[in-house]
Amino acid sequence: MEFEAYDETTISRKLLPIFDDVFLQKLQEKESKIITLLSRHLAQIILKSSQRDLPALSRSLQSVISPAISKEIAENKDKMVDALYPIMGGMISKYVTQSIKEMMEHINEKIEDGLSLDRYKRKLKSKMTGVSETELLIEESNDAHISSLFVIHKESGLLIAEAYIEDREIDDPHMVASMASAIKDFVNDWIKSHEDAISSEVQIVSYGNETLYIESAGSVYIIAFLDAEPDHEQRADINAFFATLIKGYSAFFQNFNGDDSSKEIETISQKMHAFLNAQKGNKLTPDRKSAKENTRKNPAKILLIILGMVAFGYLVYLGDRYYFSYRLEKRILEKTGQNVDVEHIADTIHIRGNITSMHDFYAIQDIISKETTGDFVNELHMPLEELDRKVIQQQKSIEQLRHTLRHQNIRLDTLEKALAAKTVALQENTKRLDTLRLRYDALIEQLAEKKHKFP
Amino acid sequence: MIRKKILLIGDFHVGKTSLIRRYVDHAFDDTYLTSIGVKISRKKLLLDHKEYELLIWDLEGATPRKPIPKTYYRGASGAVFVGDVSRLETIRNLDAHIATFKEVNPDSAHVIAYNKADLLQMDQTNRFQNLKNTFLTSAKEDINVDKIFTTLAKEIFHD
Repeated sequence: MEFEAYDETTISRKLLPIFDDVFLQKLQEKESKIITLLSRHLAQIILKSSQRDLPALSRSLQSVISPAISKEIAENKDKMVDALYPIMGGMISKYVTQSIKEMMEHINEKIEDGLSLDRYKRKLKSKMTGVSETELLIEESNDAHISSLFVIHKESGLLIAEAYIEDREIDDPHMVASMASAIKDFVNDWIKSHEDAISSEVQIVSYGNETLYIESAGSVYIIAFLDAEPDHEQRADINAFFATLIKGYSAFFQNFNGDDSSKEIETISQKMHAFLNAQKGNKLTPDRKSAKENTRKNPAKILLIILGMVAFGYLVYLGDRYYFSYRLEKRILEKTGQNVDVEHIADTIHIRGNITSMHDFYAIQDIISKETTGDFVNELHMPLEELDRKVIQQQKSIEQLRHTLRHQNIRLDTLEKALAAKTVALQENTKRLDTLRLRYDALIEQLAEKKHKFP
Repeated sequence: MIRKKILLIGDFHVGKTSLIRRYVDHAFDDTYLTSIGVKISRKKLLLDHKEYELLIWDLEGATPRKPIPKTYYRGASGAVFVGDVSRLETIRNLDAHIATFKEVNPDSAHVIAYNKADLLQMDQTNRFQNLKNTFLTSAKEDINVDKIFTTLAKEIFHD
């Protein structure tokens, strides 16, 4: 034994079977020094363990910490509250402040976006429902927001297409799609085995602040990942979008074989991205946000847009007037054969050009008065030669008339003289007749007297 | 890339999860989704210089109180049926598992893994059928683990 005591291997071999018992006895002794020694080095042991294999140490402590905290809360609630209060208060305050800040930013965006159609829709809704615009704004700012969309093959749970808002990409989407399918299948199976509603399908899955909205079709289903439960309107939007995908790609969905390299998937993803970016109250990505802010801060751009719209309107107005003038010119040409210019100046129509006859002049005036009730200025000209020719013609005519008139006057004079002579002769004849009548009467009287004397 | 869903089916404690952990370098925590009776992993593999991916659904062994939802079987292109060589009833149950699976997926591929082969003595290995697509495996000793999945993948992707 004495010889063996010098051999370490022999000592170890002899001690090993009884070491646990000896160690336990030593620990249970009233004045054991082992606990004192161990407690001195416990902190170092934990530190070394954490440096060597932190996950393993965490796993070991995990089973202890939770029950320990529960026990401590149960037994010393006030102490725990006092210990956590400074941290919890700050955490809650920070969370609430951040939430309010986000909501204010959201509302401000909506208020600043004053030219949008949504603003007028909101005003109308406020008038009709009696709910104030502010309340409606707050309600809108609380809208659930879709961060990602998955289209998943219903049978296999394989991901067909995905889209996500920038910086909100889901890690390992293919795995998530499969797991979501498993959860959906499990719940559907449970519903079917516990209820009569054969056609029921799970639609909402919530965990923490995330909500999955699921809408199923025949061969595929869509999952929208949201930060709150979607309201009726949002569900309708998602369903309507999903319906367009089904309509356009039903054959592709039905025959999906797990190959993600087809062109259809690219197109579907693009459409899903467009839907995400167009969603109401979209929380803007940094790039889009800065782009929007630039637009908002740059009045020159807004002015340019307004000027552009005004210019466009003016062009339409000019086009309309030009067409009216063109139509009038064509009509005048058809009716009179005269090529004239019709021009709008202010609100008055000006007619310009050379015409060859007064008949045309009046015909043109007649056409214009039939076509428009507005004012018009007749600036038509007849060429000078034409006018001279017409004047000379008129002068000749006047001269002829004068000549004729002169002849007529001479004849009139002659006739007057003849008439005067005739009148004189008539007067003389009348006198002679009177004389003869007197002589006749005297003869009659003489005859009567002779008859009386000589019956 | 082409992806396919495959299943691992077998009784409790036959070593399905161990096989997957040996085969897949990227697996979720074991406790994940156990409440709904499935664990999902994925594995990329090269066949003839072309990359494919398997999404592997590890189905928890069924109990009368917790049957496997039949919907899990749907859309699977293949399955690995696992039995424990140290418990013969798990081997005998394989036929029933295969029948149920084929009922849902008649055209799918499958392989059979007689697992925990490390527990067998050399002379005991002859007891197990040496049929096509049937392998003695050991997750512990890494025997034929890659082979069962590669064989199944070839059946699926080269079909």
